[in-house]
Amino acid sequence: MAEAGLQGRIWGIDPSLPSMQRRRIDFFSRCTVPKPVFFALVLIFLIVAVSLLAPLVTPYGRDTIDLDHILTGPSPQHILGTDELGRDLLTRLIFGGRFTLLVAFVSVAIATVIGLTLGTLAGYIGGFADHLVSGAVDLFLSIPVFLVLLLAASFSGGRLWTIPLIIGATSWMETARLVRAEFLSLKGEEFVEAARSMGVNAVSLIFKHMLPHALSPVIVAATVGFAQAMLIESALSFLGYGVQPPLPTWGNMLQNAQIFLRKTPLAAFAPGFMICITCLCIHYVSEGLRYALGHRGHETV
Amino acid sequence: MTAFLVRRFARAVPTVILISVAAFACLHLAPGGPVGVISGNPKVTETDLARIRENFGLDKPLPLQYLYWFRQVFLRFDFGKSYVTGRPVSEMILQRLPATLELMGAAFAIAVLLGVMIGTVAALKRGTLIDDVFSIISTVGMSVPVFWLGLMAITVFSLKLGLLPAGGRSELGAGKDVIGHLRHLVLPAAILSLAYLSVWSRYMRVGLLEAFRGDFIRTARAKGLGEGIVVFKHALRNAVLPVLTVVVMQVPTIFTGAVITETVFSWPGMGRMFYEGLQRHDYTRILGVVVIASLLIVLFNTIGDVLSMVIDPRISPHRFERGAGVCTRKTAAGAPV
Repeated sequence: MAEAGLQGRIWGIDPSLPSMQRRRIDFFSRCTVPKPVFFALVLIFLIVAVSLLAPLVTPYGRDTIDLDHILTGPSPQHILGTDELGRDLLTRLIFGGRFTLLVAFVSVAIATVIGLTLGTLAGYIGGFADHLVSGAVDLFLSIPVFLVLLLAASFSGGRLWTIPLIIGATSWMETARLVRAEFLSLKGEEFVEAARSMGVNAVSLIFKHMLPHALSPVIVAATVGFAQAMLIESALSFLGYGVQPPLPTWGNMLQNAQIFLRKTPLAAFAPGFMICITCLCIHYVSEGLRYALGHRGHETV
Repeated sequence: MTAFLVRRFARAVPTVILISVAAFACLHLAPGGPVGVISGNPKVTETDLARIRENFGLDKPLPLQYLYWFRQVFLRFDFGKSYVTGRPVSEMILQRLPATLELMGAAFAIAVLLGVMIGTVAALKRGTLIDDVFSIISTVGMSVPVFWLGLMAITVFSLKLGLLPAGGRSELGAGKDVIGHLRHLVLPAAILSLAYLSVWSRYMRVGLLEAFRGDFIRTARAKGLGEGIVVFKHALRNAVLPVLTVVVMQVPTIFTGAVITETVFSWPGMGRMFYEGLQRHDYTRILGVVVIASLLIVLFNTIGDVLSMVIDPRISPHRFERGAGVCTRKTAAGAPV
């Protein structure tokens, strides 16, 4: 408590404010501090905005074919050049961002929901439920995840909705573990005890009293998971088992460009660069979030 | 301690059984089932198929099939014959093992050495330009898709500069062309190690910083020990533990290889064999690799748990039991390699 007051003074916050309000100010004041995080947020915002507005900002249609320009390098008409079917690469890059981000977002959403549910069950109920969930976590941490992902993706036929399902189903373990640990320690807290003694039922105890406290590590894990999911999707696409063309993703654009590496190296450079930049930004944002949410401890790697 | 070891290994048993059930289910749920590849052949008649099923024991009830399969695969390590090449899967795996060990061993050696060094320097020079630069490098290393980096490296070093071969592996045979052999190894090993060391160096840095905060470091300094001894004898020992657990957990990939890197560089390792098997629907081969990988992961997870307990006396067997092991285990996030 003394430390919190001290920190409040350092950040220029009146420690006498009610705690919730203080924490809110604390959050924003801490959030705006590091410059790299700010730039990362701006870049992510730009990337997301351009991807969402894809049909408005792209010079050509997604699958429009320009037969006069096949496999060309950069030119005034086609800033990044064209692919082997004469499709404008800049256009496909922007649309690719749309699908790549969508897949990553849905994957993380699925993983987070699974992780939250199982982690809560294990941590709150304990006993047999805990054994089951811990066993499942153990099992999933004992399979060669990427090989199994590949196998599942090869069965699935690479549709837009199967890939996030597969990625989500194999990346919930970290979240489940974190939530379980949070719930285990929260169960002993006095405010939980107090709420329980006041006759608060289990549902509102979990959702109103305990879950909000367990959320900050989950949010951090989700941001890292987003970058992870993007990398996995692109890796699957690169091996030919991700989202299938003609839907463009940065991964399958890269796979496509690999064949013509000698002729149009830019076509291979651009999508990978976008993946890299986006992941980089997300990592910085997650770093900032970790700091802002006060999630300290050994996991700060 | 012995009781703990026994219990810890016993905990792996249900995991192994679950893995085997999942693998068996996979084999039968695969499009076309176990004889999918054969039944696609128009020259194979229905009677042939029945005979093949009988030969493979596929006409027996499923639980019985599973028991046979379990005995064959998990107790005798006989994965059957490849659907495509007709050779025993274990033979194919053994054939690919040297190349895999070579690439992964090289990448691991580089990553451990550089990772520990970079992490130590970054922690000692905390907050300086060097720390920032290393931090940026490792964040980039975690954000960059391995295959893209590989393609770019091929473009620059092979296609543009012509310095290194674009892929493949030269056999160390009669010619004994060691230099040529190493030239093939450099690019894939370097890129693979970047993926690992960017994660490991972070663990090292955080571990050291945490160790520096410990009372025992203040004591060591207070009793007048030189800074070198404080860092290398006291702090480093404590900091190495989390790194070690993460590294040990990745050891199974030394045997199973790196699917993406091997594909980009046409390296004839296990990862690429898996990928080729996937493309040709060679399920015995795929399952062989997956089962071996799973068993190795279970083994090394157990070893990692035991190791961290041996090294750090504060982690008691009792705590392990309560935390069900998973709590101390870290999932080292990094790019798929």
